[in-house]
Amino acid sequence: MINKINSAMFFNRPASYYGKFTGTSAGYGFFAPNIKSGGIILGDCDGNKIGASFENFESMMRFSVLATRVTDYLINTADKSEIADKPIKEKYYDLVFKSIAVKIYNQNQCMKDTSYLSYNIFEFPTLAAYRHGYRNYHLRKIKEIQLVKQPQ
Amino acid sequence: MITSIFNGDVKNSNNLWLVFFRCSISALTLINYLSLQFDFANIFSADAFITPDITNALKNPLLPSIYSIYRNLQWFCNISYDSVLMTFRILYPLALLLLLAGLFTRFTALLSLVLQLTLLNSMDFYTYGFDEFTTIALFYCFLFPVGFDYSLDKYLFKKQTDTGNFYKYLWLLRVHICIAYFFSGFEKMLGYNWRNGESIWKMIHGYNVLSFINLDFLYKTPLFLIAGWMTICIEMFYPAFINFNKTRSYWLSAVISFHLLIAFFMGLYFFSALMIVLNLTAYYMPFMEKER
Repeated sequence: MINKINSAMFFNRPASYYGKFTGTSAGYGFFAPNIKSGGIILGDCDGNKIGASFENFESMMRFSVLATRVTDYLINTADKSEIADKPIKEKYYDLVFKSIAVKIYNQNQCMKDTSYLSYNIFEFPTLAAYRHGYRNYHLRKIKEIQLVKQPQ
Repeated sequence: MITSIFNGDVKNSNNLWLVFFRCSISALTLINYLSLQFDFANIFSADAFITPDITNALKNPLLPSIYSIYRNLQWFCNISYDSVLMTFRILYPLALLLLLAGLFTRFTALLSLVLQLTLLNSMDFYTYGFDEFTTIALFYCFLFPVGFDYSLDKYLFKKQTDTGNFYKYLWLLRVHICIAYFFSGFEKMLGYNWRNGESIWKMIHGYNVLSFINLDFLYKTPLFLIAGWMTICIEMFYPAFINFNKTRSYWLSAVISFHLLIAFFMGLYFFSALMIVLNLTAYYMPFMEKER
């Protein structure tokens, strides 16, 4: 009942337009209820680690938003994003991965025929674990894709 | 007491907050946009990290994206994607400059808002809190009479505006800011990790751009716990304490310090600057003359 009233009142076209143009549809729970793990996108070209490069801090920061969003999709099994159909969503994100990979290899002028791109999370001990003496910091790989150059 | 919240210090306040709002929002948005120019191609061009056709697949259907405009224009003329992109690249800062100068203020505010939303729709993967609050601020620039003074509109067209009834705009802005802070704090309180200090710990490790400042040695102290609770309290009780004259200056100082720390530790310089501008607009500028 409440859901019906809610959707009738707020999930119609005029309300959506109003929310979008006034910014009122934006959620205000920044870094809440918990802080997401920051994603790191790394390429591998002949054993050398390569990454996206930017000229400016703001662009780099926005790329980290992108990396965190993609990584969040990979680790969040209860994801409720825009595409309801899961296989289509997976195909869409595969396209996103490939697009990023191609750009990173072109940017770093990687000449190898086969290269890898991985999505990682920087893991560090929690405050509670740190208090118990754990000091291990490491990158956890959550997805790796292989990129093979097709013959012309 | 309640009357003072809803009617405020109308007699004592000035309306320069509207001018400050227009100038600071347009300038900050312009600086943010200009900072992206060095990497514009990496974000928007056909050679971007995520190509425009892929980004376009997830665009908000209510609004156009640069790519969807390009596709639609293909029906009428043979225009390249780069030309459409270049038009946006020039038009948006121009609209913001005109808004800053206060020329055709309402129109340029609306144009800035529409262009900003179109740009955001074309870079959905890269957007964060700064962009959402910029939308809100540009909408208010369109809604409020921000060009009533210190503007080209006033000097060129000799406009006379009734300045006696501007408090309703200030009230609307304040309500919106209070809602944003309250829910930001409330959602944090729902997260267990904000209440035990883990979120602050995670923030300074995962988002600490100034990594040469290592606070790990403080792990035995209750600093992280206190900082987590202070964040919740400052945000959740913001609507109550910022609206009372006796506590307003203390809460304003606390919120500004809080945003400076976010800028320092998380590198969210533009977001912090924007939030400080909104706070100063709503709770400092209207009282400036009175306090002087």
